[in-house]
Formats: sequence, C-alpha cells, structure tokens
Amino acid sequence: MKKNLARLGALSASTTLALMATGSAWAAPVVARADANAITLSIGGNAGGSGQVTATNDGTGERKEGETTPPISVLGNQDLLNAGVLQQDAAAQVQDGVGVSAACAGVAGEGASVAEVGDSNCLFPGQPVGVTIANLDLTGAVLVNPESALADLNAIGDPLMEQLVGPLTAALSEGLAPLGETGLVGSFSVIEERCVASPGTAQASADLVDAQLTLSVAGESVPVVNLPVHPEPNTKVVTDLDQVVNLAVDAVEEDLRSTLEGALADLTGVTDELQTQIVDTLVAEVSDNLAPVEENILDITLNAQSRPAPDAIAATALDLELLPAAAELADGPLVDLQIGNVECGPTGVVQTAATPSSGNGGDGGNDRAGAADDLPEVPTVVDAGAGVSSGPDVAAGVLVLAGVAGLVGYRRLVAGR
Amino acid sequence: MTLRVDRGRRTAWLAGAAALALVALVAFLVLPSGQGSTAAPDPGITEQSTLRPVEPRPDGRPPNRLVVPSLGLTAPLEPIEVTPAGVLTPPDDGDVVGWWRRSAQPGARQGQTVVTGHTFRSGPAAMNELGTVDEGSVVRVHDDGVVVEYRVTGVVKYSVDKVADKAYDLFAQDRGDGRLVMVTCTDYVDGDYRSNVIVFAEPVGQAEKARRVA
Repeated sequence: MKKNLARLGALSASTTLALMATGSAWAAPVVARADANAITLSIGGNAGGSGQVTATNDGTGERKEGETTPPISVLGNQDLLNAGVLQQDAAAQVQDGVGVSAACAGVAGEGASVAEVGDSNCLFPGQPVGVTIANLDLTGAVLVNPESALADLNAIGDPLMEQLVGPLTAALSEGLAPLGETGLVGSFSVIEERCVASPGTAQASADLVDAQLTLSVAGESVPVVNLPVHPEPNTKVVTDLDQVVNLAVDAVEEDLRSTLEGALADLTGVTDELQTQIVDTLVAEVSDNLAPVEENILDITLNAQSRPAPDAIAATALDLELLPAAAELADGPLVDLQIGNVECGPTGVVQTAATPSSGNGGDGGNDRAGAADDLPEVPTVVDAGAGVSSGPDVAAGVLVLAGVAGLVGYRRLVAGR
Repeated sequence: MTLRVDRGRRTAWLAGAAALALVALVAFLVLPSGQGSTAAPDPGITEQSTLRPVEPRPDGRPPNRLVVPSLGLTAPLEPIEVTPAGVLTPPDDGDVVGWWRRSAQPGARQGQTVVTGHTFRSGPAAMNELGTVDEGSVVRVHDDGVVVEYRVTGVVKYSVDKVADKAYDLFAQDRGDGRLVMVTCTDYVDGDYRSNVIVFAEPVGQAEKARRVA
C-alpha cells in the first residue's frame, strides 16, 4: 500500500510538473504524455533509481525531460545490480490531430542495444545479467533456541537422552552450517515494459528474456522459478520454495543420522526405533522453523498494470518485494525492486478553431465560432440563473404599466363621477 | 359629449384591463415557478433509429433536443461558447438549453457532452427542477433522427468556487467515456446564485455495465 501511495504521489507530482511545464493548462492542454523509468530500487527503505523520462505534447510539439540511457552507476553503491544497460524513453506525439503516447523502459545485460521508443522492443539482449536479491540466514530460523528444540527430546523419557544432548547439539550445528550461505539470486538478458495510448485506448506489454530466480542452498543451486517471456497482465509468480525446505531438511537428517551413529556407538540399549524417534523429532523441529521459507518469502508480480483512465495505463515489467515475513531470514535489509516502469496517457484531441464544432449550427447569440483559440479550455463559471425569466420580464413590465395606467384611469373615472 | 362618453368607456375598459393585468401579475409572481417546458411527450422516441452511442458528426452541428422524461423537460438545444473570462451562459431564452460547442457530440466515445440551461427564481425555465432528478433517470438527446440515451449516475451541488476549482475535471474533453454533464444554478441568495447543480449521466450501455459490476 505504501508503495502504491508513493507511486501515486510520484505520478501526481510528475503530472503536475508536466502541466506546469506546458505553461497554462487551460490555454494549452496536454494531448499526449508518457513516462518511463528503467529501475526503481529500495533497499532497507532507502529508495533510489534511474530517474524518469517524461514526454508531453500540447499540440505544438513534444517536450521531453530526463536521461534516456542513464549509467548503471546512478543506482549508487549497492550490491543488487552492478552491470547492465538501462533504457527509459518516452514519446508524446500528435498524429492526425490526435495525441499518441508511448514509453518503453527496462534493463538488459552488457552489450545490449537500444532502439527508439515505439510499439516494438526498445532493448535487445546482450550478456546475461545477474541480480543478487538477498542472502538468507536459514540457520537463524532453524535454531532460534537450540535448548527448546532439544527439549522435546525429554519427552521420550529415555535415561540415555542426557548423554545424547551434547552430541546432538553439535550435529545440528554442523548440519545446518551450509544453510548459512543461502542466496537468492536472479538472472536475465532483458526485462522491459512498454506501453502505447491514444484517445480511448491504452495497452502495455512486458518482455522477459531468459529470466529466472535461483536459490543456492548448501552448495547446491536450486531453480526457484523460470519467468515467462510474455507474461499476462498482473501475473503473480509462485515461488516453489518447498524444494529449498526439502533440501535443507534432507541435509539435516543425513547429518543427524551419521552423528548419532557415532555418538551411540559406545552406548548400549539404544534401539533403532529410539534413534528414528530422535531424528524424527529434530527434523520436525527443523521443518517447522523453515515454514517461513516454504511460504512465499517473495512477492513477485510480472507485467503489473493499472488503468487510471480508458486512455491511460501504468505498467511495471517486474515488481519484486522481499516480504516482511522474511525479515528474520534475510541477511541484510529488505529489497523492493521494480524494473521497467512506464506510464502512457491520458491523451486527447488537439483543439483548433475547426474542431470539434465550427459548423453551421451557430445561429444563437452565444455563437462564437472561430474564436476558440483565444478562449479558455473549459468554463470555470456556469452562469445559468436569473431572478425571473427574460421573456416574462417584458410581459410583467407591460402588465405593471398597464395596471398603473388602469388605476390612474379608474381614479379619474371615479373622480369624474 | 360623445367624446366624453367615449373617454369614459375607454377609461372603464382600461380599468378592467388593469384589474385583469394585476390579477395575472399576482398569479404570475405568487404561484410557484413551474417547469421550463410543458411536460410534452418525447416525440423523438418514434424517430429513434438506435440507442447506441454514435460517433460525433464532423460538421459540429448542435444536437436537436434534450429530454428528461421524469422532469417533464423537453428543450431545444443551441450551441453556446465560453467567454474569454471562462463564463458559460445558456441562451437567453429560458426554455432553450445550451450545448457547449467545444464539448463532445452526444454519443461520442471520447470527451463529454456539456449542456446548461437556466434556472429562474420566478418563472419557467428549462432546468428549474434539474436538482430533483433521481439517479437512474433516463435522459435522451435527440440528434438528427438519432436518440442517444443516458442514465443519470450522479447529482452534485457545488459552490461556484468549487466549480471553478474542479472545472477541468467537470468539463474537460480529455475524458474517454462520453458522459453527459447537465448544469444549472441553485442557491439563490440576495440576488445571486451561489452554487451549481451538476448532473452526470452515462450512455446507457456504460451505465448498465457499471451497474452489473457493482
């Protein structure tokens, strides 16, 4: 919600600036506008990004502000994305008297080429680019309280348990150590969003080339999800993180079993059944504590679109947020990443003396055809009231005069009698 | 003598006429102001060829007639224009409604159609009762044999200052839904109208769609 408000605020501000840039909005209405932003990144609440390109047109020509191909260094000192090509371009044109808006924005790997904004791609693939989204400290989640994790073993009621606690604690630490290096990364060749708008219509689409998310756990790389090339609007990505949980649990279980084998080698009276009970108890504990991972710790929306008006659209190719639920797992501040933000529209028709109505119907007293260029764009006062109607005003005046004349005549008549 | 007799008869006739005139004047001033137009039937219904929105005519001629059956309002339309000071005034004839000539033609899928008619404190005027129209009421605009039908979706009363503040939202032509906006005055205080009644109506197709969604 906060993010949406921020974007809404930014949109309002940019719209206001665009209107200010055109001078008087009343005298020169904007008939086409578009905005583009390649990347917006918030790490730990500190927002940054590639800035914005804004194009407007009031019928007298296009005005464009902002840098279309900013260097990656504009993102500042951050570890998320340190290589690639940023492209953000917008166009606001008038075609046959009608405003047409277009925008394109996104990120590609080194060596990518860029094209002019229009109704086709503006970025073409270069080298794959990697994104380091987060490092997850799973050990912290699993062993928040080792004593409590092991306390359940007391319920087993075996006198040997006291001798086992020490070795088991060591086993847990060893088994979970590799999980401390769990990383959440992404890679792609191109991620871009583009839009077009004209009166009554607006469309947007996304292109994601060779895009996937990967988790590296315990030295293994686990693909989390491959992203679709042309996602439908507002596609939610379901990250299959239960694979990660299974991998982690397997690692713990294997380590526990081998440790127990060694620890119990010199002990008598420990049955296989008891060993299994011990392992199952601890594995269940580990699984419960990894639940936040199995749930989606990422909120990813592809080709996110909203339509403030029929001829306006705002869209984002990839919107990724590390959910607050992952706060205890993330080794570092939370990430909110948006790649390929574009907005097109609203649009309008260029107002001229000849349009929309310079015809022959203007025979009324208020007809001022041909003067539209000098007139305000919209009325600011509607003066549609009067004390009495104009027609009856005249009649009432005549009646009053007649009445007065009649009274005078009547008095004279009476006086004359 | 003849002259005196003639003058006496003429004076008596004048006195009688004056009495009638006074009665008529009193009746005119005392009776509540009525509807701007008589509650004539909607003859355009017989001529309608379609109720679907139509594209704007390129010649920019005004539509013919505005009809609000629930108010008994039937009024011809004339084109009007904003003054350089931004004032939009209906035609002088209170029975005639003004169509802002730079607004959309009825049925256009872009912009919005803006019409305004007078409210008279005393005497008939086309939009005396506009503020009493109910949401969902039918409004028809006759346009050269085509009837564009709307349903009222909102009735608001804004002060003149608020109208000025929201003028762009209310009347600008960069909207895309082709709604009808009807405006008149209200809040008569000390010789001035201090507010406007603004009625919004959507083409029937869109109104039905909105209702289904709701």
